[in-house]
Amino acid sequence: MGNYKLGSLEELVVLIVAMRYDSAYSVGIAEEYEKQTGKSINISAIHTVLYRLEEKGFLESKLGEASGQRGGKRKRLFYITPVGKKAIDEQQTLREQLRKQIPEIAFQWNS
Amino acid sequence: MEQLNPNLQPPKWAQRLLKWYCREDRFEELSGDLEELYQIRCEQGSRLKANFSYCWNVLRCCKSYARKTDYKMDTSGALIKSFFKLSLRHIAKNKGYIGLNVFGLGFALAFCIVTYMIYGYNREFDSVFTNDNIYRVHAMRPGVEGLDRWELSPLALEREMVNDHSGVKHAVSYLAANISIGKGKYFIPSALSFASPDFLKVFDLPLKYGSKENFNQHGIYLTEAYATKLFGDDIPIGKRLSVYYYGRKFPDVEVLGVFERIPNNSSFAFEGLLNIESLLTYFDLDRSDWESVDFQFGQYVQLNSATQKEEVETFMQQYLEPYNAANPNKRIEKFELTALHDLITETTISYTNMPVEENEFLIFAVMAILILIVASFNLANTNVALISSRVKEIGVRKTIGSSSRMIFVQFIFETLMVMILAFAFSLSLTNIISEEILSMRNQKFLLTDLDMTGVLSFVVLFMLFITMITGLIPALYAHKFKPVTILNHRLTAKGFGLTHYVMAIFQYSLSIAILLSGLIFMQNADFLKAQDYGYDTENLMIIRVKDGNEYAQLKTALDDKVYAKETFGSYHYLVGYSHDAQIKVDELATEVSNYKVAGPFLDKMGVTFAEGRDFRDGSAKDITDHLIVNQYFADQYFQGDALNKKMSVDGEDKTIIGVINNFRDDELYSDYVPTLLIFTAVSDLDRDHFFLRTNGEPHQEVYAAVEEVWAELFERPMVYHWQHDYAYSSMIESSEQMGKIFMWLSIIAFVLSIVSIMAMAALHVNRKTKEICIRKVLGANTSQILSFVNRPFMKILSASFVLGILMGYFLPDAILSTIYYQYIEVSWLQSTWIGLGVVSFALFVVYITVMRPVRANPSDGLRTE
Repeated sequence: MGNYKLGSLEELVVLIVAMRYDSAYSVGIAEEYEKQTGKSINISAIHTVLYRLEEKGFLESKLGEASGQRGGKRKRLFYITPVGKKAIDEQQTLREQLRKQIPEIAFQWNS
Repeated sequence: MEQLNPNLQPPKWAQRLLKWYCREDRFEELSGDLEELYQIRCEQGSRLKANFSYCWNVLRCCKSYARKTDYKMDTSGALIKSFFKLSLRHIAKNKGYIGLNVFGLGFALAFCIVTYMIYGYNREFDSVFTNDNIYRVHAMRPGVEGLDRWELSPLALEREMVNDHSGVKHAVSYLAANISIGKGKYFIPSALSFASPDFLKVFDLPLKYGSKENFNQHGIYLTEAYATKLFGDDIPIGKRLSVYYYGRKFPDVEVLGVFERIPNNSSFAFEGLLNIESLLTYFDLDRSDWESVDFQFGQYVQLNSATQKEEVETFMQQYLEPYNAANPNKRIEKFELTALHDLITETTISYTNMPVEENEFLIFAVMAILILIVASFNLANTNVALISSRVKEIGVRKTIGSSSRMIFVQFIFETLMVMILAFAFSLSLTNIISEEILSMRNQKFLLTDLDMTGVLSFVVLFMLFITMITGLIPALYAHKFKPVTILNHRLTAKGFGLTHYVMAIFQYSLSIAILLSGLIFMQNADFLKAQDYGYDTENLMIIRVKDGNEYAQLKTALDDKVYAKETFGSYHYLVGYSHDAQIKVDELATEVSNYKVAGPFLDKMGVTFAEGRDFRDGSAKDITDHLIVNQYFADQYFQGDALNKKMSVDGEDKTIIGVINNFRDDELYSDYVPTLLIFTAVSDLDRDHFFLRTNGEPHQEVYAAVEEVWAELFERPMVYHWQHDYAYSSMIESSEQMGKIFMWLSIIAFVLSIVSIMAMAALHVNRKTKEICIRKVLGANTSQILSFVNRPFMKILSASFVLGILMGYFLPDAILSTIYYQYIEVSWLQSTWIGLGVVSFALFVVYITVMRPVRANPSDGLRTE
């Protein structure tokens, strides 16, 4: 478990990368992040997280094809790795386990 | 995504910046991302915003993932510890050099911190008063050049304004006074002030004890320090105090409250606050009277809103008429309101405390910066010289894996350590220096009086800044050494660069100039002391007595004391106290200053007579029929021949029996223009002042002895002053203080310059060792080698000599001419001798430093080759 630690922003970025399979690049991820969370984020923060996740092995990347878009400059496309999948799965399981252990009474504020 | 619009291009400089710092393998994707974002921003909003956002993103992306070189450094504790150890070892090994540098830098930094303090003193001046819309009431009176600003408000103005204009929330009067507080048998001279009851509403000073509500006629508020001085740790509320003013006892007052600490940098510096009504009642002054009284009140108004300032100002002009009608000799042209926090620069206004003038501040700041440059250069220079003997250490460290950056950081760290020591030393000096400087202005201000967040941020940031500047030269010098070159003993020696020359010349000429300035200020103080004022100002104590009876009592008690050279009395005293008299000479009427004196007072004051005689002791005819005039008066009214001429003084006909030579009745700030003076005699019973001429014993000792005698005779405090203090001593003191400051600065600059030249000489010889040895082997003798080694120093010192003398001539002359009207002339001969002395000493130090390596056996120097 300890080997697959993800911060909350990192977790969201891994999820978005997996969600946007084959079209996950920094500008697109930033847009998706803003759409999903309603919060704005600087592109440099997305870059930092993407490169760090790649370094840790949660993501892998390759350069896309050159196109007329972006003045002919290629995008770096990111993909989730099996380690990345395991990490988000474990985070998910942990959350669900904790959620299930909350007694009902904790949510009964009016009684 | 559509094709990029070729017309929409982000700023070129930002693109170039990105290209400059970005790794090649990441450049394509990153620049593509940023340009795509730019495109989106352009479509969504303005181009300006898009440009700004692009530039901001370029700056934000300058992180380790994008940079060509990763600047990550090992910042582990072990490394810092090792740097720390190395620095300590370096300091321990070079105690002498480092100690002198810490001493010099400490002084220079202390002067910089004091400069910041003075800046802070001005910036936070009156900031304790937080209420809005407070204005000072100033009277504009006709002066030599246009209108002069005066703090001269008629007392009646206060009530009239509040009653007549709805925009005026409060109007208050304030008078600073020297009052004595009686405590048992003793009298404590205190700086108490009188203020209107609403004063505490306008100036919201926080109270530690008591309440502001009931500020009645018999109440007094004390400052915390003063309350402690009077009552120790007891809470003083409700305690009673005896108040003496002008030598008379006021009704007792009750302590109503104690203020929390009031900062020294505020317009009002008082130890206690009395209700102005007590003054009015005691002196029988009428609040509605427009006539100006002996007391000069300051007035302040608080308006309901700042927008009403001009309206109220215009409204106030209606009060000119009643005022000018009541005071035809002190006409006011108009009233003006000046915001409390606005700086007042006019010299006609003097509050107890004033912000430091910009000129004074600039002189000080420039001095501080110059001395800091000298000290910083010195440290850099010494470090470079010391590094030259540590090249092997650098070579070995680089060989075993230390990067250039590590070496760089290590040397910066070493400078930082020295700097921390220097800062610690400077902080301990700061308060001493500030006291010395501000005592010239009779003020006291300490570092702790300032907002400490500002002080700490300044000290830390300034320390880091100076460390970077000073540490950069040695660190850059050390970090680029090539280990192979060092370890092969092939490190090539370079001569002095232009920077070295310029800095060394600057340093030496400044030392000479500062030394000369110090001497000149000291000599100026002596010059001022030797000034002839036309009467004897020395060792003369003037004590206020009630009448001739008290005078006689005091005279009997003091006459046989060893310190009393002579005692005499008079109604007025010279320079500072006289009355106006209406005179008439051949139907020509005018108003002149009339000194009422008793008996041969003028003779005893050392005034000389051009013709005629002085008044005689107890002569009734002198009192009724005679007068004495000064030479200027005689020249103006009688073409120099005034003796035995008749004239009328306040309606009484009198004959002139003597003409005295003119004496100065002002200070030395301006060229002296004599004024019309007359002297009339009064009876012995009218002696209001007792004069004691001493044999020159210290003033404090005489004062203590006389006060003891006084306490036995009279039950009220003694009011006195020294004639010497009155005339010109403040100027002598300020000249002596300036001399002292310059002397200190010159000692520091001189010591630093000597250390610097020693370091430079050591470095120079070190670099030239091989050349010296080869020359020796080829047959050069010691004097030839010395002349070759000393050449650069001869150049530096000759240039400094010329520059230093020029600066040492013009710098003090410029400062003196702004402060004094009469001052000593700077002597070229003296400057030349002092310059020669400094330069010769420096040459001697160079000689001593280079002598040993020059005399050494050449085989030792060449062995390593």
